[in-house]
Amino acid sequence: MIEKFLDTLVDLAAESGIAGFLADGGWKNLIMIGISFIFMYLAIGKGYEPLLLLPISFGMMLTNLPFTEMYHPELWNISGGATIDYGEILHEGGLLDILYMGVKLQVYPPLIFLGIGAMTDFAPLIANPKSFLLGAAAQGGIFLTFIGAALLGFNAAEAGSIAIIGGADGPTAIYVSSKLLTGDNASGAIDTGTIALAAYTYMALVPIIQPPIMKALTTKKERQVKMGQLRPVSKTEKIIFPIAVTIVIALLVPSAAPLVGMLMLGNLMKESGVCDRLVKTAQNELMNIITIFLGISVGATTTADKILNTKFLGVILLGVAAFCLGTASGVLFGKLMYIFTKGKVNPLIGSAGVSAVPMAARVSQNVGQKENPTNYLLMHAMGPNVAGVIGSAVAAGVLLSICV
Amino acid sequence: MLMLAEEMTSSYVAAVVITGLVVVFSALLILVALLYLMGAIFHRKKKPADAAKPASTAKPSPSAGATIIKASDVAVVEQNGLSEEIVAAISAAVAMISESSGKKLLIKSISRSGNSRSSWSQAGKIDNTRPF
Repeated sequence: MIEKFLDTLVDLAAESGIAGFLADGGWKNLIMIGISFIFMYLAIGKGYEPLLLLPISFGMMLTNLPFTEMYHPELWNISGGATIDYGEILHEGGLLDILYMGVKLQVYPPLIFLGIGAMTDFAPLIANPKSFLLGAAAQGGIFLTFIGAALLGFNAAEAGSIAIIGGADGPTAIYVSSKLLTGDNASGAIDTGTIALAAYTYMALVPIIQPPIMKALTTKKERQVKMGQLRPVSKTEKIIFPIAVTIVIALLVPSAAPLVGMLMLGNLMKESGVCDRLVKTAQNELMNIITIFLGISVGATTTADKILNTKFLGVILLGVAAFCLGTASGVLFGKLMYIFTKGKVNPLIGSAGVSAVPMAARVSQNVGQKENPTNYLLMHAMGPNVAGVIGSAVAAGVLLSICV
Repeated sequence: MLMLAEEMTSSYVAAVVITGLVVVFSALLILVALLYLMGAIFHRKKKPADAAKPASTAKPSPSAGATIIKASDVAVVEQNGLSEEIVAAISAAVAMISESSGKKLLIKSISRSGNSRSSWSQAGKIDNTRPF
């Protein structure tokens, strides 16, 4: 009887997660769990993008605990032109596999955009249409990073997925990478999880990354410019705006339609004032549910072999370059507008052209107010900021059309 | 080591960058033009109505700025136990609605509502009884 008891104990020990750590390559999982703790600290202790970094880091921890069977990378890593067998995933997948289907099938990012649209006020953009140009200029970071990714040896799909980090828009980055990194395009070196992790980390670091670039590229005089009051925007204009943007963007760049269409549907529901219950759901319950699903399933894809390699280091370096270049492009275009308007535009609002709503606009406000405490740039910066969301969705559409 | 992947020729990379920037700028430029057009239409619509009113009187039109409160009006409401600040805040809110709706609104009197139910409880009641 004692022998049977001991055998059972040995069997249990062999099947335990601890044995998994001692198995070949198990130490990598331990490192990944350590990294997940760092992200948890950043989310809880520092408050960096906690709504996303916390579920992502917890998903990262779960997927690296041996034998949890919640996520199966082998079901998703399909190469040689084969397609993902969703039937097999439904039958044999774990909880996180099922949730990850929403990422891979590009369901979550457009739904998040629906919620963002329902929360966004486009009035500062409608009142000052020139803001659109700053939103477009800041997308320069995306395309300049594409060059860097190409030089580091990434293929077109990977370079497009890395470059979109410069859009400073998590759902867009996830949408593009999940669509590009499939089938033959996926070398397996990087995937949606690594892109999302880099994107959200840098988005959390916007208040640290942007100010030095903004200060370096502008003079004290430029930073002190006070901008005139924005004109009031009528309800009719606010209602026509989402409809017009959807039609124009869907006709020009059809591949951007799922993101822009959902963003504008959310906004139209809000501005029409006749769908209060739907707006509340889109802003709160739906958005929160999708955020949890998206975060934890994206975190689950960050297995040790995806993170502990030199390619991921390349993603991290190119990601920060994308953010810096996007900020610099926006500020430089702001300077151009400062010159053309004879000093009426504060170039600091240009940096808000990277999406990261509303954090990038707050950074413009803070940097401007440090130079002149009576200066309020927030509403002026919100124009380029929301234009950046539309701009990055258009840039995503372009990358999806070219890099497939 | 800097090396392009097999399918990433320098001309391909340049094409992606140039196409990307041109398409993004063109799309957003079209939207800029559209917004200016929309602004011009709606402002032209408003202007004649605004211009007609101040022609007969020296008073500025409400849509050009804030709603005007006469000193005597303030005196009246102050007697109702409301401070000048409260009157100013209510007037500003009315002026904002007046601007966005395009209708001229006039404040005739401001009086304190009965204290039978607090505004929070009133809001709760409205929220719970809203028809589904």
